[in-house]
Amino acid sequence: MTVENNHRWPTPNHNYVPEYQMSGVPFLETFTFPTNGGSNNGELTSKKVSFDQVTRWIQILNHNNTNNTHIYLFFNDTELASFIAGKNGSNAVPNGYKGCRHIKIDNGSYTPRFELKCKELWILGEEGATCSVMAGLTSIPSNTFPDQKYSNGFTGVQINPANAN
Amino acid sequence: MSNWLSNTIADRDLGISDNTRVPMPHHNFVPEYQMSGYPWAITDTDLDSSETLDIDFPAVTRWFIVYCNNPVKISFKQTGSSDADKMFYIPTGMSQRLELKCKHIRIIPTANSTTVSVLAGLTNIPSTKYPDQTTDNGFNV
Repeated sequence: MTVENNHRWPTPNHNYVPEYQMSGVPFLETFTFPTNGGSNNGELTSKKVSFDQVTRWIQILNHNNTNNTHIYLFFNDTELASFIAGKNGSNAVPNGYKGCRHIKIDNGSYTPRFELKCKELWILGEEGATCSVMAGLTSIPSNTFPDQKYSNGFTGVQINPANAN
Repeated sequence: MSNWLSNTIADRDLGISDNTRVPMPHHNFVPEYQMSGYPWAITDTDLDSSETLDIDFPAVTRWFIVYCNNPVKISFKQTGSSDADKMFYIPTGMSQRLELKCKHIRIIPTANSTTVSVLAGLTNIPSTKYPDQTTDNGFNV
């Protein structure tokens, strides 16, 4: 028996409520943000986490105990790229830091359980920092879930492209 | 999306609009709160104690959390200034998951240089279908 045996016909849609009433199939990933040779200490690098099935919930642990070693959680790659460009570059921050579509997670802390349906997320952290993601997955294949972008109605994960710098 | 009425995957892109149903779900439709929500996030930095952060959600929330690097107060009053006795105090750090249905929150920093993040799980219920959060409408805000 495999997890795939849970898949049913017709395939459950991401609005099929019972998928969220069950507990999720466990998903775990712990990773260390890659370094670029140590010449740019503190530079931010990102990690994409993709789920094969739509999530029922996610929880994130920022392992780092150094003061101000925050990590940032994004749900859209364009928003992430915009933020990195500003943070690692000059003081000219695209879109500013106001109204950016991400959240900040303190060092050494667990988040609450975020009961969100999504199929991918991006975490941004300093070189060498460690992070863990745990998720409970539904049986809904992620290829039936819309891409997480503004034009698909996810207005809270990406700044409106029409207003972006 | 212009082609949201189509029912075939082949001739349209998938979008949240595809969730639109007839009849439209009401804010008392229980299954909307039994599912997980769509992610909605925002971060604002360098807020002064004299500023407020007003957040209007495009859909009714299933839950939200607030992160702050200085204590903040939150209010649900949609119009006019917030009343001092109708605010909730959130200490530095991340709040618990607040399972509340609302379409507007106001965040009031208590110190300068405050960073605030809000993450919400949204339902499919358009916020236009939710009453304005005023005392006239029965909200004790």
